[in-house]
Amino acid sequence: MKEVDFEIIDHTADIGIRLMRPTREALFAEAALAMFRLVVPEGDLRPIRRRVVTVVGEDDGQLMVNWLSKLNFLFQTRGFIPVEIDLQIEDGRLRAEIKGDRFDPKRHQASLEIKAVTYHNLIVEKTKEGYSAQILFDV
Amino acid sequence: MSIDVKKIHDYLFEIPQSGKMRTSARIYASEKMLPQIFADNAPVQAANVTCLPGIVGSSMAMPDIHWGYGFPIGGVAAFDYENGVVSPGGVGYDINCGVRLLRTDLQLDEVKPKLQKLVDELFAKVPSGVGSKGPVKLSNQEEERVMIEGAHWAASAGFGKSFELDKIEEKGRMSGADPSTVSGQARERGRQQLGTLGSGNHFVEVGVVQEIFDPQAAEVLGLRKGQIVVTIHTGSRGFGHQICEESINVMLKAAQKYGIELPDRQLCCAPITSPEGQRYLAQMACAVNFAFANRQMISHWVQQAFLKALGVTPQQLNMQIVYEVAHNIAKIEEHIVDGKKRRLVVHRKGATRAFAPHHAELPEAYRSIGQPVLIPGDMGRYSYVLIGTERAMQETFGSTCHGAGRLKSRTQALKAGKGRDLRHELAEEGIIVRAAGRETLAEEMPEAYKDVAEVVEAVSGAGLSKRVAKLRPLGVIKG
Repeated sequence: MKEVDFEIIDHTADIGIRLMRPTREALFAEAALAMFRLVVPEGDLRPIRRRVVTVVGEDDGQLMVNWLSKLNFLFQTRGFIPVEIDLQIEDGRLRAEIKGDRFDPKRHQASLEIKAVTYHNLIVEKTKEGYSAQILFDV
Repeated sequence: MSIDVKKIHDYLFEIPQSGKMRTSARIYASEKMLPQIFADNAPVQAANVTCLPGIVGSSMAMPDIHWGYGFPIGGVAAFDYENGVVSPGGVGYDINCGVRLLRTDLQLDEVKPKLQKLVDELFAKVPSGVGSKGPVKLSNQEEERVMIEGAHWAASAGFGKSFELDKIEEKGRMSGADPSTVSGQARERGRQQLGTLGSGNHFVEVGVVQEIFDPQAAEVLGLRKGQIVVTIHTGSRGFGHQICEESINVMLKAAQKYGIELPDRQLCCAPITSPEGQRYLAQMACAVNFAFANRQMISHWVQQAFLKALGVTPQQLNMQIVYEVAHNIAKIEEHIVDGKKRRLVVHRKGATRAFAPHHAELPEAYRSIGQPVLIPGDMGRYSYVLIGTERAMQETFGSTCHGAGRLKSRTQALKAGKGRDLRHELAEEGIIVRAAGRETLAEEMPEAYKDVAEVVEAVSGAGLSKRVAKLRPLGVIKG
């Protein structure tokens, strides 16, 4: 499984992630991979399925919530787990080509169910070093 | 926001109105619980809720208050129907997450020798855990019936036909549901997850009535010492989560459109009478009914598991609903405020309705005692059955607490559980547990939760509800 560098925000009732990346594209792509490290922390993930996902948002915060929510929907309904993500963001529109696996209890260990990606204390911003994000999940 | 707190009485504290707050925020808790409550951001969240238009009375928090999204968990807020707002964040993602209590005619000694078999059978019959799917293939048309008919759909489809559905809040079917407002994505998530328990803190628990505090009320509820009961805690699954998620995007726009200033984006809302507000209420009612159907289906499998594992007849088992509560919901209710009857939308997020005796909304059989309130604790200690009071009607729009509330984060709990055999530890206490997720037992260990007895002590000390019975867990299945 590819290493994803991120910090877990540990809260009494719920859980979140914090990460920094040099570009906005890397931030969005790796935020998604980090979210799935929480959901499926172990197992052999193979890039055997391909999906194209497009989402829009009025600002970077909403774009992040909508993007991760869409991926959570695809996991919940189709068992799709992203493994490799190639994405572009232009004018509030994100288009991602994703290679991923299908959840299989024989090969994967699921740890938690994300009910939703929230706007609570959400941060998606440009910093001196690049871009950073803080996202909290209702679990 | 800096917080100034005033003591009203031993179980009530107030954050007085200041700055952009339209009214005060009130926290029901014992003095002992306060440091823990204030260590978290939840009191600020209770104060933030008072900034929303049309709030009536105070924004209130129950003793099990903890940090939520926008609104705190354990929060109660009422808004004037004509001039107030409705907020999906005030209900939560798991719309109509709630608790059903079932009673049986079995006694502890009849079940104890076959407990492992019973827990295994429950685990086999009730789909649970991340990625679990319901066994029913629903057509789009049938799913719309679930949205409108709730528990009544499930009963008509053969799930738990013998249960009396009037013992459920809203009698198991909330009016105002409009499936035409529900998106394809919510329908898709729902179709696969109807009839599933989920994961995290959701559970099915076989318990025994350990102590009776109010013999008269217990008799009306059909509860007696040593009796076997079952508690089911789950909600509207992905169907409700998706509806909430989509409504939040709609409400962010609506708040801008109607010029509502938000201290936190997650508090986004719309006037109740606006098209956005009405649409949310219609969608929410669909999810409320979905959750009623879900708990009804799970009850059916619970009944089947008892019959098979224990080899008893349906008559010997005599499984009946004691009551079922919703603890994540917004409801149109009439309350007396300053001597006048007013139409309100009461948001209860991690809070339970606790109506007083004689209220017309209560099942006929329970009118003399008040509404049963079901308060689950952790899987190692105990749960409570309470009843609503007149004081709750006067002070909290007929509301009380909903559970224990977490003490340890998931990571802290996992750390505390490292190297320990929790299943064995609980078995030594006479509690048999099975969980679908490998980490669930550690995450949900008893010491990860506050002692629910303290929460119950605070609400009964404040007069918001009265103790009827205490239940002790024997067997638990978790997602």
